[in-house]
Amino acid sequence: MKLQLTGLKAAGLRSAELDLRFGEGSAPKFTFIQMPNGTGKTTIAECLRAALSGEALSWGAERVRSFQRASGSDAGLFEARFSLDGSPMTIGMKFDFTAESISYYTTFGRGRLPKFSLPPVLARFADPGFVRLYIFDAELPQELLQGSSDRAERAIDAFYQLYVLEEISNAIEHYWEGQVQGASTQQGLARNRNKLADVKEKKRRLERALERDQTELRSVEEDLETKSAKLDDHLGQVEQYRHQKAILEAQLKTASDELVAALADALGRLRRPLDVHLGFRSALDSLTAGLDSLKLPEATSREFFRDLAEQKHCICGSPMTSSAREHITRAAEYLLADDTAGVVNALKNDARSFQRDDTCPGLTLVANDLAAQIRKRDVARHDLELLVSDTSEKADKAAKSLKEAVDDLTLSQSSLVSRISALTRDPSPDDDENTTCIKWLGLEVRRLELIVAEAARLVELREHKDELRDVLTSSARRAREEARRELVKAMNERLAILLPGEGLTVADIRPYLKLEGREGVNLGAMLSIGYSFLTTLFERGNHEFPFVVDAPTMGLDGLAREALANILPLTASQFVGFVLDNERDFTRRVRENVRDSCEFYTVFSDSSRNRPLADQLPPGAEAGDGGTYVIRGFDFFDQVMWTKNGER
Amino acid sequence: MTASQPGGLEAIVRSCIKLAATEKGIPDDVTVRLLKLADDVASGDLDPSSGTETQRRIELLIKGYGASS
Repeated sequence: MKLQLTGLKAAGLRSAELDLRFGEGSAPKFTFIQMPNGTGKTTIAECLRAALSGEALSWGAERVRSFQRASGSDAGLFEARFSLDGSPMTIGMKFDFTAESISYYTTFGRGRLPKFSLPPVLARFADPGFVRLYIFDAELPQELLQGSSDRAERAIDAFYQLYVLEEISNAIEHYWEGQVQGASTQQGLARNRNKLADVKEKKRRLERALERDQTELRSVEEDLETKSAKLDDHLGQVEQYRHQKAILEAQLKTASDELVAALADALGRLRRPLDVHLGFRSALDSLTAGLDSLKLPEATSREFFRDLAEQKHCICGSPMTSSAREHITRAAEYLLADDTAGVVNALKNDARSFQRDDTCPGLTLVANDLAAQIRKRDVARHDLELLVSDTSEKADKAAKSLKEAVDDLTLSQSSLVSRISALTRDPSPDDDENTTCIKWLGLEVRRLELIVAEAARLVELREHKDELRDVLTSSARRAREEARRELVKAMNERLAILLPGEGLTVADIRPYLKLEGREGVNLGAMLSIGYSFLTTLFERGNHEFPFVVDAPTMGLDGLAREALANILPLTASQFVGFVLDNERDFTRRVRENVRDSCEFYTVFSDSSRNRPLADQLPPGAEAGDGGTYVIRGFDFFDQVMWTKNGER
Repeated sequence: MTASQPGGLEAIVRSCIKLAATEKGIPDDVTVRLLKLADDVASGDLDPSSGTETQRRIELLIKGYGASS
């Protein structure tokens, strides 16, 4: 990001009326604005800081009033013009001294917004503390050297762009939060894993039980078959038994066959709604009646032609002859092309065919018949069993023993079949983890496996997320340390140039500037430290800010001024200095260094104090708004005397 | 590892990220993606606070362990 100050405007404030546009097309590297004391250098610098930070929104009435011109204006305006990455940007502040308030406006890209609204690329640098670094505040060097301030550390974060690491870390966390909304946590994963293990174990246990039961059932059935055959052989030795058994078996077979037939019939009738419930029949009647009253297009209705052909008279009144009837029926075939009419008519025909089918008995009759058939089959089976029991009772011990064994085996078979049926049945909605339904447990295993897999994936992703954030945090910490060492070294090299022979060195800059073996320094040294810190920082990172300084060399001796004039062109991308006439050795030196990119203004108001300056005005120079003279050019800037005899 | 891009992170910050990633055992391809992301944010090409491209890049970063770069 590259921010350049391209112009300033001030009106109705406690400063000279200004409307400066730096350079022609693009701002020069150095702009010096020479203003006598009392013309508002400090006011303009304060407004510039407020314009870039938005801090004026929180100013109180007294602070706002402090910008009011002594003559008592009702309103004031400050406007700072910039170039942000090559695009023009304006930040304005309107002072309402009656309401004692300030409102902002911002112009960038899409037009003018009636509020303080910086483009995102600049907004992150809108912190008032940060703005004071490049819209230089004379008190800043002192603050940098004070233990109560972490401004030096924050400046490192800004210029080395360490905030990028924090922003990425926050973005990663934000993304993660979006991913895991409602998802399983590590705790949830463990719980579901345990649950899955329990369900799997239970399913395995029941499957083993089923296998045992099925094996036992096969054994019981084989045994039962053998023993039943033996018993039958044994009892079959009695003629009467054989005879009665043959009769009863025949009855059982007949009953079973009839039951099968009745069952098939019942199932067939269940497919016919009219046989299931009377309601279907009445509903069908209503439908047919509705279809009859349906107003079909006469020309396309088959029913119309069919009905017409059956009438004694035609609609024209003439008698319906057989040839007319035949003609109407034949013509209808050509005229009935409408699919809808065809479907409706087919529907009516089908409905009528149902109604005409009076041979169909109701489902109740079928059900009653089915029940009777079942009873008949059961009675036949019972009679056969009774025959075996009775005969066995009367038979010998071996037969009795065989009968008992068969009964026991039958009981076992029944029990096993029941158990197997319970294990192999289809799942029901009432099933839960206490169920013995193997199919339900199988479904539950699959469900839990999916949950566990998803939770495990998220847990793995969270580990990645945490690792990445750890890397960003630790690299920011490490980079801050490295930057600190690098900056201290570079600062001390610069200090040696600004203050040669003074032996002033910086020991550390975190969290504030600490001097090696020195507690305090004079104003010039303090300013030199500030310059060495800032100019070193300005060389770092990708961002370029205008370096705006009020009285940049006040307190510096001639040697330091010369050194600063040599350093600034190498470090600052743009320098704007509000200077006094006693800083001309500095401005001359800078001009020597960067002659092609230097601009000079002399600004003063038409007051008795400034009369000596007005007397030296070049031909044609006139006062602008508010009686302010703005003279552009180096010659006047460098030669004008501020007092009649050249003494200040 | 990728070289720094114009307008990207300061070299000192890049080397610190690489070092921290190595210590943490982050795969090289993931570190490359992280550095590229940081470069793009530093140069202003990518806004980390919004945008589907940012989402995509972060998703790739988190899910991309082991995937080829």
